[in-house]
Amino acid sequence: MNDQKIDQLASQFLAGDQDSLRQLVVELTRKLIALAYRYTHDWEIARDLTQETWLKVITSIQAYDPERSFRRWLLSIHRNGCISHLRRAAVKREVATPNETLQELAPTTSGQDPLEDLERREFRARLDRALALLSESQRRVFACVDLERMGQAEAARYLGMQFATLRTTLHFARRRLAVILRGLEEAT
Amino acid sequence: MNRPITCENFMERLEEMASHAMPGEELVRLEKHADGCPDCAMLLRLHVHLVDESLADVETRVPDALVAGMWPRLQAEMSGRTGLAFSPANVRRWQHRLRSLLGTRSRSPSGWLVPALAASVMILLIGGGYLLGEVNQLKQRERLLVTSLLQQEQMTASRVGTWLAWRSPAPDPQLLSGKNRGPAWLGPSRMRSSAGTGLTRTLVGEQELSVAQLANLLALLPPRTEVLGADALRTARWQRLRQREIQRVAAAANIPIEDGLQAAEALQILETLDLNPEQTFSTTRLLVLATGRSPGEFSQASRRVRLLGED
Repeated sequence: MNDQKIDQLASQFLAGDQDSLRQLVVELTRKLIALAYRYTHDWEIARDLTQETWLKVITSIQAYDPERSFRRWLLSIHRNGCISHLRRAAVKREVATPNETLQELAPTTSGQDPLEDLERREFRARLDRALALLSESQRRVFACVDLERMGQAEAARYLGMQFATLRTTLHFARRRLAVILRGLEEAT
Repeated sequence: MNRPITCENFMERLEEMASHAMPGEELVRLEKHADGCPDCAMLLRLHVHLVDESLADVETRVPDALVAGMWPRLQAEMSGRTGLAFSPANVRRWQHRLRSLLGTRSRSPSGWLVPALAASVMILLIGGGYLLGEVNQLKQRERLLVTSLLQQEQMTASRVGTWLAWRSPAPDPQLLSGKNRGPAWLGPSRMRSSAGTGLTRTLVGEQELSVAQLANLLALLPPRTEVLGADALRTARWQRLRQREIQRVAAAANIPIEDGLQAAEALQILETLDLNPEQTFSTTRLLVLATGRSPGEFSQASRRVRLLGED
């Protein structure tokens, strides 16, 4: 579905058409979950973050300006939610029922070496802790460039930063992450 | 003759290296550098971990059940949340109901909510204006402190986890409507984890209110709820409270505040200030400032809240 059609649906939802919202959810949820998964490496949390994003959209649709791109507005809300999640990432995750977890993870883990998979998860857990120690601006820059794989120029535009400032912030964010990750690894 | 690789060179070539797009000879030189530089070796591991797949690849792997289940989940959440279908018209009705509840009797805990929010936003505006010029220095100090802690104290993973634990439970939006049970409509269970009377207790002075709690609360209010009236900004009382700093913060966030401040605008200002989310401020002082009452008047309300919490 192109952006024009999406904006049209958003305007219809703004005017009170519930079916337009349903179409938006069906069309854009996959992308939102994928984006959240880049941040969390956990399908359940990615789904919860996406659900939070949609609830925010529903309750604050009056703040949406139909002259602007709905997709950008939506991604901006979603990205803020994901980055906030990184800030809270040291909190122990609440685990869903084992059956549900296994069922949802099955398509992703099949065929992978279990040891490699475990190592990746441990690394990811340390990374979550390390990210919580970055400053807000470092975390935002790292999230956009290294987690979302946004180009540096695009990230600078999105974050409203000078390109040079972004590069410097990214440099320090990566350096700091390396130091913290090493500290965490040695501590375990 | 090739010059030795520095950490700067290494970082510049990192992405190319991690995505296996580098010529062999160059790769060997960089790997040699990583062998002798633990920080760069860790950076390489980090990038290999992150570049394993593109966003488009991830999209193809999203389980269909998660996508298909989203709309029913949203419907269930919203019907549990309001008892209404969630067309914007109904959301507006719900917002109106919430506003009318917020505006009721001034002595009830929920009646204090908006003035308390007004005071907290005002405190943050003033403090934020003062801090705006100091933020970089504070961050630098924080960076040094964290690095020093990690390097010198060799914290264990569990201690780090405890240290980082997000101790600020999300405020309970049911309290806005005067109820004390956990909200069924908030969705993800961690949002429901706060004690039923958490926010009310906070506001009657038993706890401190953190920046994160304030931000969560503002995010949950209808965006156009007025948390700070134009009159409040004009009174002599506020004038004495560093009006210049307030203007500076509002200008930085590009928000005109002469006509008052709405919840969404206050939230935007909070984000602009980029404060430490765990920073707390005294709720007793907050309530005294917000309501003009003496601290002693809150003890009765506090007892009442405790009784409600035991229901």
